[in-house]
Amino acid sequence: MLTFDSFKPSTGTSKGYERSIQTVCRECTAGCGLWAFTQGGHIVDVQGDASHPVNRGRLCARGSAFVKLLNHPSRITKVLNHTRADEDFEVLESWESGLDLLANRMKQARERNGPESLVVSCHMHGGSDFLLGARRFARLWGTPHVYPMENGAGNGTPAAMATGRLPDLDWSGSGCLFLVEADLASTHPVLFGWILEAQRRGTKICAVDSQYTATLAKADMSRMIRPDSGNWLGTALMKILLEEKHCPSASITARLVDAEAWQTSFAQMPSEAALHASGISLDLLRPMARFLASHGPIMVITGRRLGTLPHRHIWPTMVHAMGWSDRLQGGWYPLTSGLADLKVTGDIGDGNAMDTVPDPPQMGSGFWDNTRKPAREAAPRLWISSSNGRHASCFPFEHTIHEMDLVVYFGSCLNPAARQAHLVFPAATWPEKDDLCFGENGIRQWGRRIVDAVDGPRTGLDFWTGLARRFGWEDRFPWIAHDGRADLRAFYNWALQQSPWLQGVQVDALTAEPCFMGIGDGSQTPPVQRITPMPAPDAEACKGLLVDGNRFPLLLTAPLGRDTEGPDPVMPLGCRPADGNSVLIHPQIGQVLAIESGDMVVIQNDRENWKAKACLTRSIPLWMVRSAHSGRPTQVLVHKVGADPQGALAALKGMGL
Amino acid sequence: MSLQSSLSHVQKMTLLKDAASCIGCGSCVAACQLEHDLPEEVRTVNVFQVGPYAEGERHWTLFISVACQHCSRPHCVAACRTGAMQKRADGIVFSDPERCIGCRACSLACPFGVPQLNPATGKIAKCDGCMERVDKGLWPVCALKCPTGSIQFGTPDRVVSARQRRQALRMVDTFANHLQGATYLASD
Repeated sequence: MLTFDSFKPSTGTSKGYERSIQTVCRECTAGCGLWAFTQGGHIVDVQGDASHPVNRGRLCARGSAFVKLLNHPSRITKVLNHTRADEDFEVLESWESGLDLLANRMKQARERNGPESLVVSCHMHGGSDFLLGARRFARLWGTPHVYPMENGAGNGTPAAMATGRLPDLDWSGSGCLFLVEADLASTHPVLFGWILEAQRRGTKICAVDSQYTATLAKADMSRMIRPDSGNWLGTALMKILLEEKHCPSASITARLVDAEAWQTSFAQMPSEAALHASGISLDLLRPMARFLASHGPIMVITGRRLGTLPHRHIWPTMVHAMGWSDRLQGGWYPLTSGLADLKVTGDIGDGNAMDTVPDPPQMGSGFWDNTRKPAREAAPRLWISSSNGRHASCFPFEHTIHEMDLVVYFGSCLNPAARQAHLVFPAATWPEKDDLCFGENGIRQWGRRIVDAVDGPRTGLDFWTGLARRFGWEDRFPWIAHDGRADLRAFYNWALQQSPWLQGVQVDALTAEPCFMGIGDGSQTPPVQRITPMPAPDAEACKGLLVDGNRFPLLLTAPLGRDTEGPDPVMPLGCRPADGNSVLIHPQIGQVLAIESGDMVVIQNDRENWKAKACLTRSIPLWMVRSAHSGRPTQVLVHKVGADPQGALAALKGMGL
Repeated sequence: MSLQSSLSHVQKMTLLKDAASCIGCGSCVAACQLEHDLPEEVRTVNVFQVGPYAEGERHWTLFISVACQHCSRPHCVAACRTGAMQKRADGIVFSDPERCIGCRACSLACPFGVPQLNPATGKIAKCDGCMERVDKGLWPVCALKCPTGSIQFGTPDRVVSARQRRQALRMVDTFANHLQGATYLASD
């Protein structure tokens, strides 16, 4: 008789197969181990690796569903040339002819606009090799503008290490996990499984996000804030923690440089601005500050986008000031994009300056002003993007894309960015290539290829190697395998040796059993040192936050960027508007404005107005309206079609909005 | 929490679904579709969300993964005219594609509306308890892949005892954390 141990799931496949491959899922940065079973060159089954320490046999939806992407109808398999906006793509004969065309057009653009007109954006789906190859090529070309889309590649990890010991996967030693705009339940379900285990063993969960997520649903304390305002929330929290004397004075003096001036800066900070920026009232924030203060040590987990926004250093400052970093399982855990923090340009020019990932320019900064003045020499006129490049915070090019000389897309599926590109290059997906995986918590693994790439798509390193050859820089990209393609293993072996904090690590060591190496074991973590704390934002920085909500009291938000076409498939919980023209409205707003689900409403701001179908849900805060279409946050007024806008405004004002 | 038991004289197995641990990630849905080669629109496992309900600033939401109940006296089996829908000795209710003609009588008879027509094959698709896997001593994929362990598989005694162990562990840890917390505060 078969016996089943409920603590030891019986894994494996029931399907016939020729080969089984033990590898690492690269859908996200959790780094789950998996077994893939193939028959005739096709994947027939995928199961979690029960022996892997991250997922212990478990696997999320993406870890199963990636199989469908390989032969998806929108998969790009040929180089496409888009000569005119009103024409379909022309299929080019080969990868090499596409690169020839690209190199010629790049040379022309460079002569006209100078080297700094080249901007490269790198999404994690393009792979680490695309980012690293881009940095090396850009160094040779002479432009500093290479940006990871999600976060400074690995930026968070060294910063987090400075806050003390990095956590293991077992979080049960923390008093509380504070998740700031990090919806791990949706984006990293396997990691969230560890968090729920910790919660079952007494660890509290406090979560804040701009909508009611599955993470908030499981939290012991939750709040909704304005999108991308988590760092401002941190500054407001820090002020309250100082005001109410929750920060141990011993920690402040022992851990922070020039602690007195730092405390003074927070005492002088106008709290209204930070509260307004984060959309939360003092009455709601004070209980949260007390909750956090009474449940230390706390691990602060911040979302990926917060790493690209101002004031992100409030989090290491807070964990040091509160003394959380002194304790096991306390500290700061910034989610990263999983792009490798490797030094790859040290042998070119004058040192490693280019390897320091610059902060993405903020909206309103000079860089983006240039995008509206294409005559200026430094204006971006040549844009190479991997995967979805329409990420509003980093690359607001949707208004100027038609003025660019050349837009190139490197990706595996057609999406809005690809459709606007002049040239499209097909990218190999992760199951089709070997790759070095940099997961959350500094996990390093070697992911083996599962299937051979269909004819056409290539790796990111292939792209840059081929391009460099056409500019006479082949000696700078010497990693070529026997088949003429880029040799990723040789490249990573070289790159690992260039990076001081990874020296001694070789791909061969990562491919040996077990194929898992982490830096969460404490042995490689540097001792905690004093840090220079982030001072409170000055009055000038706070002044710009106050939004005039007198005429337009509601905040319209929308997904910032996505990989697929059509309405956002990921709406807040419980909301699956059948109509892509739907907007989500809080039921209390609906009650005041006599709006029911399904009613047509008018959304207006000072520039335009348009109609949409209302969908009432408590998944969003009272002051928010959420659209399924991409766009930047903006203040709006909403009223039912045919209703008086001034009456609606007065009703909303009557609610205190 | 729901218990879906298959009652018979042979070894009976149970899927225990714990809504307290379910995060609505849809892993069970995707795992089932991959295992049974189903198109995206055919879902033999569904994750339902209850809520959010709100009172002031507090919200409540629950998720629950729901598949076939494998009823003791299944109406779908009684309604099937071709004998495609069957109940095994171990309690699993399944549809034999060789006999199914896609008439959907089972869908109408089922009080939960579980059986669905797979447009790709013209046959009925429903949870078959991963009987091919279970026969080989493997867990059903929904339970195996669940990222939070909210779906447990085993004999009724084993899954209940696992649940009891989990609860006991929580009580012990809560008590231990309480003591540690007291120490932590005292040391400050």
